[in-house]
Amino acid sequence: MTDRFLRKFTMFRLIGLICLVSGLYATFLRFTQGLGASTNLSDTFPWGLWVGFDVVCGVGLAAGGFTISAMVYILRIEKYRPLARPAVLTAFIGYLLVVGGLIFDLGLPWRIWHPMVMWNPHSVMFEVAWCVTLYTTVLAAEASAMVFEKLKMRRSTKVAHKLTFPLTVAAVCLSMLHQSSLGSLFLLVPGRLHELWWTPFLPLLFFLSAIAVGLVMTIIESNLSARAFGREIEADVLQNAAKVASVVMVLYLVVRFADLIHRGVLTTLWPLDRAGAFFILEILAGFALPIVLFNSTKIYAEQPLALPRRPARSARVHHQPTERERDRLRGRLRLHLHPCVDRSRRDSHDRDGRRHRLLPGGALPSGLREGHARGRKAEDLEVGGGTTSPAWLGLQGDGPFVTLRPSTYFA
Amino acid sequence: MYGILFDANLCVGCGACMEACRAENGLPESDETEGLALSATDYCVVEEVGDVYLRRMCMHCLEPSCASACPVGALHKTSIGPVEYDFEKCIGCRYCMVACPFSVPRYEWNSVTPRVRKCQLCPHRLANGQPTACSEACPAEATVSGERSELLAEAWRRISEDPDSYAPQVYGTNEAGGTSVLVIGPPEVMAAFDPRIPNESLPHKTWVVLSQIPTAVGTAGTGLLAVNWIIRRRMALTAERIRKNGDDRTESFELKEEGVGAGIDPSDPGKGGV
Repeated sequence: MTDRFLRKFTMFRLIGLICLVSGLYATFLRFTQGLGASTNLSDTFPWGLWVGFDVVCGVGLAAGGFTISAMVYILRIEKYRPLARPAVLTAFIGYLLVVGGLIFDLGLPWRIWHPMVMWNPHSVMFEVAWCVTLYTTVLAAEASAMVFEKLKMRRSTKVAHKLTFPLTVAAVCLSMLHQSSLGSLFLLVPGRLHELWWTPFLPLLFFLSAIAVGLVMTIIESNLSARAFGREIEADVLQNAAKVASVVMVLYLVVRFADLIHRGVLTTLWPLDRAGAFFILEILAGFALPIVLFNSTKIYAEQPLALPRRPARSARVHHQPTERERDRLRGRLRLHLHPCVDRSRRDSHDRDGRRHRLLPGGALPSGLREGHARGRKAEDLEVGGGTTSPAWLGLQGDGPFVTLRPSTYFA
Repeated sequence: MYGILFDANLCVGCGACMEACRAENGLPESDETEGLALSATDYCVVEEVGDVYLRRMCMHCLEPSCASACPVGALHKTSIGPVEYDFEKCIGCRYCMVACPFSVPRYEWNSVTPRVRKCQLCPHRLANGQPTACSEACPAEATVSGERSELLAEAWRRISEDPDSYAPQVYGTNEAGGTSVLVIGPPEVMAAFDPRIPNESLPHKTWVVLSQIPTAVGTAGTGLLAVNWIIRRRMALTAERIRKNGDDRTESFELKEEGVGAGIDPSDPGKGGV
């Protein structure tokens, strides 16, 4: 018993436990003795990590939710569809964490609802409060579709699906306001912020960097979940996301430096002081390095060389295919066996981006078979390629594999 | 508009204003061993600047950053002059403390129901026509209160009478868009103020952005809908073409591009076994 208990006590769990216990102790202090006892905040530094990291950075890191869902549901870039739901879910969790952090950070957290009824439209913080509230609600509504589906609540699911598009439009508008308003917060303090950072373009810069960091965060999340759930990552989509992020970062740098040059601040960098050193560090480590890395072919060297530039041919399967149709499919697919050496796509996705893992040995998951049997529209089905492929396609071993794309993606 | 004029050349540093302020606001005696500074229990302090003294307190800006920053409007400039704080509205976000160009607001860090603390310019006394507690207590007339415009005139009168001992400036005329508290004195007093405070109203900087919100949302929303409509229309047209002509896109493309699969008729069943 103790032996088993001790064996579970790994290093990371120990660190986690220490964090948890100290966090609980800090929580106790926070709500019994106030912020002074539990934090190092002072009148000189009224905002600390909870605001600087949790709110300002945390919200930025949750930007993947609106970026990816805008790409999928508004721009209809279908290859990002598998990322849409995880991104929305992590954004929702991220925003809940922000609200949770605010409960700790606000001096009087039980009055968190005050901005809803006591308005001051001149305040950026008022805008932030409304955006957090509205966008968390929108994210909850977007994420509700997944819950309804799981619970097999068909009518609610249908409503949630219908709402996806308008909710995405709302999400993009709110995020645009929210991400930029976090920058606007500091427009009011030109004296306190160093001139290398204070600029009237703060809102635009915050918005642009949020798009980039949101995409990059999605890559990190995909990697983590791939490790946790033992599935392969959508390498081709993620590589593309990294490239899009690097384009946004270049755009950011253009705006940033155009502003610095226009204000004539860049010349103050020399002689180099601490602020200047941090500025150079920010530009090099935060922008130059990722831009170079994201566009380096060496990083993608693991990838197959001959990726199809266009999606492979679409195929419709309206039922469990007959012998004749299988032959036909094989014939059609033959064309794509060579170009489609894409090891990243092992799972298949249906129209809503749900994954259907191909089982070892190449059998389709039972759920999918049932789906066919029930006359489910097979256009919704994408049979993903993988090192294993459906047995009925006659492919064996670890050889090349196929990707069938649903024609609905083009309709 | 009510205000205060502080004359550093007349101040003797007796601290009577601080005493009166504590008594008026019911604040405890502060621990002076750690040096004088504004705190949650000190709304005004007398600071030594070179050979003279400078009173630090809320400047009661004409367009206060703190009031513009407060999300719930707990801080507001009244028509009489003070920037007042309403604890019942405050949520404790402390944006006012970040926003204040003079770094004045203080917080009750060790309270479970913390309040923002700062000079409120004795609004209850002003309402009864009395001067503020500090100006009433000042024995040297270094702190006088009255109409802001009259105080400005008085300040310039003092400066012109003795231009050698005064800097030719009334601090608070334009600083941070103008303040209700005006300060005159030798140049070192003027230098004691944060040089980064601009001579313009700060709330304007955020308002130019905030006032654009309806336009931004309208433009973005319409733009997104329009882009989506175009994309959907194109997808529909493509689907229509495929329905009529068959899917000729990928196959021919890949055949040309990759040069594989030549000779195999995709529509011919059975021949293309793997």
